[in-house]
Amino acid sequence: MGKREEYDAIVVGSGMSGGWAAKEITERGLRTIVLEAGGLVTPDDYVMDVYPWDLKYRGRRERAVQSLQRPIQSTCYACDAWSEKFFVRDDENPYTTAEGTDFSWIRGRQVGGRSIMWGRHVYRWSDLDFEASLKDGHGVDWPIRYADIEPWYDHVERFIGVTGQAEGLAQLPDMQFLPPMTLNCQEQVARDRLTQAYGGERLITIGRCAVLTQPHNGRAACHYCGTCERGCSTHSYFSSLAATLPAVVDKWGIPALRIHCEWSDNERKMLQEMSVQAAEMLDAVGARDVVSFVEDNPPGLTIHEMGTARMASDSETSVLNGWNQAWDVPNLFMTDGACMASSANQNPSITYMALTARAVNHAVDLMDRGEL
Amino acid sequence: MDRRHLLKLLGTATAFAGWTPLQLEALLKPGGTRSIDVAFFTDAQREAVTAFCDLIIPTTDTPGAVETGVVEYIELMVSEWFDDGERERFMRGLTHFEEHTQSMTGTSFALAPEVRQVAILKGLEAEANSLRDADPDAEEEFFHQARGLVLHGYYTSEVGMKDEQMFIERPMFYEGDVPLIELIRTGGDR
Repeated sequence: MGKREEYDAIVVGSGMSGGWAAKEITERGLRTIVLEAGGLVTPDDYVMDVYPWDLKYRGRRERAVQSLQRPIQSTCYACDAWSEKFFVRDDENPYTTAEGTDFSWIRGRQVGGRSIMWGRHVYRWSDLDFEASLKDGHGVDWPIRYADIEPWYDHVERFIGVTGQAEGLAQLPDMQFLPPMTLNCQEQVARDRLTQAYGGERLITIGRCAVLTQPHNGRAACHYCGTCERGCSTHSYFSSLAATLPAVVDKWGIPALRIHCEWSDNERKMLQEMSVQAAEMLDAVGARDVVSFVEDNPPGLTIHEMGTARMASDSETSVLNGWNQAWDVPNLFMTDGACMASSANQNPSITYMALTARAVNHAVDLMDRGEL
Repeated sequence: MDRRHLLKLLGTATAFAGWTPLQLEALLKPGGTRSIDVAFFTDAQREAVTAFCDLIIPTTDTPGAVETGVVEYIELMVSEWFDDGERERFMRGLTHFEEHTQSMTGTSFALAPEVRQVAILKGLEAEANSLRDADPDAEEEFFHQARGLVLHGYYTSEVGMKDEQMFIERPMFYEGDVPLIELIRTGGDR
């Protein structure tokens, strides 16, 4: 047995939340270790400068190998001939699902986790989302409101860099924006017509992304090569590896899960309604021959897994309190998607990051006061 | 396709006349790895595919499919990447294509006059379209397979992407709304 090392804090996982936890904890002077089951990603692993003509099948994967190694991962849009190495091999990472259910578990096991090939879209939640469970009567009420997380959204956005257009929307609060990318001419026309058709009640805005439209915190501006999920050698989009992670790595074994997850009647109805609304809006902006459809994908394929160890004000109905602290194990904080008491339409990563920074701040305060 | 099915076909049709041992082996040993180092098409088949490519994307003021290596790409995809069913359909379609041309023009597709070549392709396309319209889930006909390979091969080649599509590896800027005429004038390089 080697020398016994002691740490003030242990961060499990180096993805979106783990990277933020490591950054925030070490900045407060605590001795920290990050545990990560996957290997290091080096600049050579980024394949943004590999073009179709450089690949034997021009970007098409060898299908026999794909169906053997990544039958589930390859159903994800971002897992292609270039980026598949950032996704786990399904044959080496088995899981089961409850009988009669299906779940597409899209995973990356490497330093930086899925922040290497994430979708980069970031949208704040508002009180419409934090109060949704209470108002709808689904699940349990969130133990926090927008005011609790707002300063932490500011904090993480200033660090990661977010491009987007301020719109002053109550349901999608403005962020700490870098300059927005511009709408193309079709989008401009659609925006004008939609605004008119709905009297300003609905609008089209440019995507809000953790992509740099100008140099930011020592990272270069985007060069618009367009293939972010293959990695970015200039670190122009946010990832744990590019921005938050101090390089401390270890290995960890993970037991296989049995997943039980199903869409409910409510979700299916929302899916139908989204299709109806999308067609109505296309019609309103003057689109012709609109064909609406509903894509009935298994849970998991859109990634964004949330819940299973939710936050609430009551220890009887939840695993975590309002500070992401486990009721039963006071020195355990869970700040990834597991903590979410409900989901919303927004991509959740920015909320995980803000909750993480908030939880770390609270935990270190408790330690400083000798309460943890 | 299983061996019994193949033998039945061999016994009842002349569909495999003129096939090389390698091509027959590819059908008899499904799923095996094949290498492009060994030519897959016969010379006659390659000439037919070349003429097909040249008609789908001819050389104009931009390079055509043949000079950007699309024929080699098709030979690779058919011999290695296609699954057994796709390969069988493509090769049977190619054989039928050559036989059909011979019966219509008295010569091979590569040597037929261009006006006849175009008429034959239009006929094949109409036939493939009507089959697809009748059953959208049906497996792709030879014409659609071949045309799809020409387009994919061309537009994933360096010349096809850069010269024809004005692809720029690192534009360094994003402007959502640019007059098309400006792009054409500058070759996309602003």
